Amino acid sequence: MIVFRQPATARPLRVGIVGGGPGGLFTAWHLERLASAPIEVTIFEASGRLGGKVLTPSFTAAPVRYEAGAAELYDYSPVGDDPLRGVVRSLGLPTVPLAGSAVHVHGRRIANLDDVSAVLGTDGRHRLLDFDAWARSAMTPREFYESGADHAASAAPHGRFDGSLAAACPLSVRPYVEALIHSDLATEPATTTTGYGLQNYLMNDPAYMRLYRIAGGNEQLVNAVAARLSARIRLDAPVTHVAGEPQATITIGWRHAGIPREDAFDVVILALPIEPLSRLAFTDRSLRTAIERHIAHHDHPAHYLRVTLLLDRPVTGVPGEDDYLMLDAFGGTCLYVESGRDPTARHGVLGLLFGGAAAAAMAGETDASLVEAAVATLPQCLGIDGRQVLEARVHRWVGAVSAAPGGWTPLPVDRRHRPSTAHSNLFVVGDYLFDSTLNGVLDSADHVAGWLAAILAGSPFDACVTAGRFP
Amino acid sequence: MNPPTPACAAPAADQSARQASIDVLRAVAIGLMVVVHFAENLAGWYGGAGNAFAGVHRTWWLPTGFAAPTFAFLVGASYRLWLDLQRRRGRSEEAIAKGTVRRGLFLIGLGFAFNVLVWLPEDVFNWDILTLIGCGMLALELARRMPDAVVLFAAALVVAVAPTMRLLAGYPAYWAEGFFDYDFTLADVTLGWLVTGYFPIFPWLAFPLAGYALAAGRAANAGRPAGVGVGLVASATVLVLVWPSLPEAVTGAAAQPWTMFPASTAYVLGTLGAVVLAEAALHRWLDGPVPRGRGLVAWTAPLSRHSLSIYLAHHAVHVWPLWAVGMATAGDPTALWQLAMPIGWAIGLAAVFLVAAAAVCRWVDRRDVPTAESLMRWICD
Amino acid sequence: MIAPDRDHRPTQDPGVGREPATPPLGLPPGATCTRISLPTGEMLDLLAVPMAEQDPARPPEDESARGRIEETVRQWVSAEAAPPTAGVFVPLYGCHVAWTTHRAAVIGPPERLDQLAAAVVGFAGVEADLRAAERRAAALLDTLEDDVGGSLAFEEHRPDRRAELAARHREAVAVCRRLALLAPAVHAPPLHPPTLAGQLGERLRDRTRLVERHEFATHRAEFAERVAEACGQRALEAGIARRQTGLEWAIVVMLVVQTALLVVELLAQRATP
Repeated sequence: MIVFRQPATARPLRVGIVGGGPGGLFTAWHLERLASAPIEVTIFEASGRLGGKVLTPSFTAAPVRYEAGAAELYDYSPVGDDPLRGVVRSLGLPTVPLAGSAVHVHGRRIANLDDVSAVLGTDGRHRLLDFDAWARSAMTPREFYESGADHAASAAPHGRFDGSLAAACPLSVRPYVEALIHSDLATEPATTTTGYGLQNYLMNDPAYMRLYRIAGGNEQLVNAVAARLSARIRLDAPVTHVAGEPQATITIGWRHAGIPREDAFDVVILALPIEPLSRLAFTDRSLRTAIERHIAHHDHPAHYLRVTLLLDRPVTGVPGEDDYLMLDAFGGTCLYVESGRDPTARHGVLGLLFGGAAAAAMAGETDASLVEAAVATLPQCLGIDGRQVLEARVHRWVGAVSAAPGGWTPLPVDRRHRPSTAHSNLFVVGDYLFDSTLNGVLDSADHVAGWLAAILAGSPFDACVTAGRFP
Repeated sequence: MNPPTPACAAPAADQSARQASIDVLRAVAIGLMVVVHFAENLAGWYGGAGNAFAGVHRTWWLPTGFAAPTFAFLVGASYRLWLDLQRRRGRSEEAIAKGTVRRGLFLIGLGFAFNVLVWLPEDVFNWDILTLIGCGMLALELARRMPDAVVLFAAALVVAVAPTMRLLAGYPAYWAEGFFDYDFTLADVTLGWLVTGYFPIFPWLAFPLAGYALAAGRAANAGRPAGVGVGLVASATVLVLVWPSLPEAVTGAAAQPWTMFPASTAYVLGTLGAVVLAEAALHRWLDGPVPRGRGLVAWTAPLSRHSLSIYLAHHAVHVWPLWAVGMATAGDPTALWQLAMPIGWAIGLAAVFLVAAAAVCRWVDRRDVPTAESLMRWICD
Repeated sequence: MIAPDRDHRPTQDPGVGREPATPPLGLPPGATCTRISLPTGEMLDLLAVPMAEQDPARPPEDESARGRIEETVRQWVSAEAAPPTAGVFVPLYGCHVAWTTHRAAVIGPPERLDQLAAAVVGFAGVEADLRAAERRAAALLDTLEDDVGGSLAFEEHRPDRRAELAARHREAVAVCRRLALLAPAVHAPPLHPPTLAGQLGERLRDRTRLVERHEFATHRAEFAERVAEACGQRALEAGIARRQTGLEWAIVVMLVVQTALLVVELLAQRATP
């Protein structure tokens, strides 16, 4: 049982959030808006910055920013309400649409059906249209939008995506399809579900979703959210352990400047990716078991590796002035032309996003060899051979996303966010619980914050309730 | 005695509200009025519509009976134009109402004073043209709130019930001497105002009401009033032709179809139709986008602007000397009434007066000399 | 001459021969210039220049020849650019498209020129239609200040206003109708998988802000329609009230005359014989 002891004066609910990435920040943001009773939020972040996978650093050789992590946001407004879009709008952040149709397969560009006919022939065009029709019938825009929710239904076959691809996608067009989706999938078709694979194909259809970025860098999103929090934020404060009996207050053990500390909280929210979550120590055996079970169900790591090049001149020759194009190198690589939309840019910025097994394998290489591999991947039409590269940055996101968000068999949404019913005051937030995107992590944060707010609104917190417990 | 009064009734119209056709028609009416009054009062000559006393002359060529209807009709038309101008200028309805009522009351008071000072004190309740026009202004203050169709309906009703009212009131008893003769009782005074006076409400109120209603949209459709005019003249003609066979409710027991005192139905319809036709024709000729008849307008407009002053002045000019000389020579102010001179002299004097009046009016405009109109504006605005 | 059909798409008019405008000098052989009649009656000179696409698998060739041709075409198109609409220049997967309200040019592989030209012409028709509707919507707003007073209370003393207001309402409804007919073409969702013509249409719509302009013009027209409708409603109410008032006044007049008759009758009995 949770005992809300009434001190001499009423005190706010103490909420501890482990993780200063988008999950932790969004959870604090929502909590502060939804809570009908006073709360005191503390965020623990192991590194020296907030934002997690949302990162827009700057080059040293020139004051040019680039996206090192989440490069695009997903706009679901063609289908339904888009909470992330709403947050961006409420923060007053300007957005820029992103578009790109071109896929380079075997050195040939395929940007539209006419290119498909030219490269793959009329038969290839028909096959692609058939596959596209199958994909759209397997998952409608509404089903795409609601995927991850408890009530989500889909005609998509269950099972692994590679099986579905083999059945529905002819060999003649498979290289095109795989190159199109690989960098978004961040894993191989054999290690993910058909539903997740379909989502990464259908996301290219504007009827399902559109892409956009925040003008000036996506990091502005997390910075703007953080700036509006009244929470206490502890940077460089890695959490070492979580202790707490069932239905009791939870203690978070953390370190700062080498000194161990402990703080007690009424509610703890673990807003961490799977890998750092698995490194946390839990003193309570039942809690540890629950977390391990939770991790086991959701641990389907997918990988990204990003190489960003700063060039000494603007990038030209990008077909169609696209913001990105897909290359078939390394199973499917996304090439972002980050400087393309700025007519005044004096430098070019190209970002290559490797995904899946290739990213995991390349993560062990040196930065120099990765840069060399990246330059070699660039299409010839851009006319870049390495001499134009002023500076290059490499960011490794190994295991940073989930290849099967929600698990192979998604748990009910409530179960996903509260691994242990005995520890009803401990919650989990993460993009891997939904679709491994910023939209997903916002949904996760919104779910937990709404849950807590409903509890706060329903229970007379200021009463001394020996029988009080989180429902 | 049929002194009509002109533009004064339409509150001091701003130059921009004036239309050349109305000025010309009113000036024509002034001319008719002066000629007829001089002929009647100085020489004892009456036209077809006038009431002829024993011993005086009746002739067909004197345009008796057309000036008063013209003036009364133009009161309504001018008021319409003035109203439109005030509204365009954004003047409040309350201010418009006050101005209208004050003018009406001013003219009624002036009418009483005129009767006492120009004629005789016992003639104060003669209910002359000035009091009619004053009452017309008060009626127009109500009429402007009604749809035009209802105003025309009211005018028609006023004309239609007048003969019945005359029958009920015993009209001939008040005109046994050939002029309006009443006792100073409330009943007689009231009946005089309503039915039996020189210019009673019934049927004379029909003229300003009709003038107001038919002036609506005159710029948009000048043909419609002309059609109405033709209809009225035709109706009058029919009435005249079938007069003997008409019931008393229509004839008012009058033997003659065309009389001014009382204003028979045929007379009212016929003169109203004639005025409407004349105004429509002048409007079509003079009020187009290209100015025409500038010379004519230049001489008639001042007369029209000062019609109230001319009305008062022409009486003073020809009636007061009549009283004075009669008093001096025979000890009776009315001794020379209708006997002062031959008709030719009377007409000549009338012409001289008109020319002098036109010149004086132009001089008055240049020098901004106070007039009856400026006095009215000063009191009523 | 390409004439519009019933659905306001430019079509080939078999009865009229083509009227080729003069293509600029320095273009490769096979370049053609065609004059096209748009639904609004405006003319569009369309220049089609066949030019093979650069192989994306090879480094960029010497760009001077291609660059000269593109610059020549750009200057030719820009010569007819009428402000405020500036020229739109779209590089698109081996093709180049330039467009202004009176001139357009497509440069691309010969096998793709027809579909590119059709996409440009289709877009130009919609854009010309929208521009005409924008002008009409703006004209409606010019008289709005006059009408706003009438949307609150009908000006009884200006009966000519009825015809004026009726005309404005008709025009506002006509503009709204025109914009509604244009809406499917303006707001057409992008096809997927896309075709080259579809991608070109989207780019041109995006660059000329067709969607925003359509929404803006629709707001204006709808606002003018609301004002005109309110004015009409006020006029109707005034007419109804006037008729009701007229009846009431007629009754009042008859009562007054009846009263006067009664008064005359009473007074005549009391009057001195």
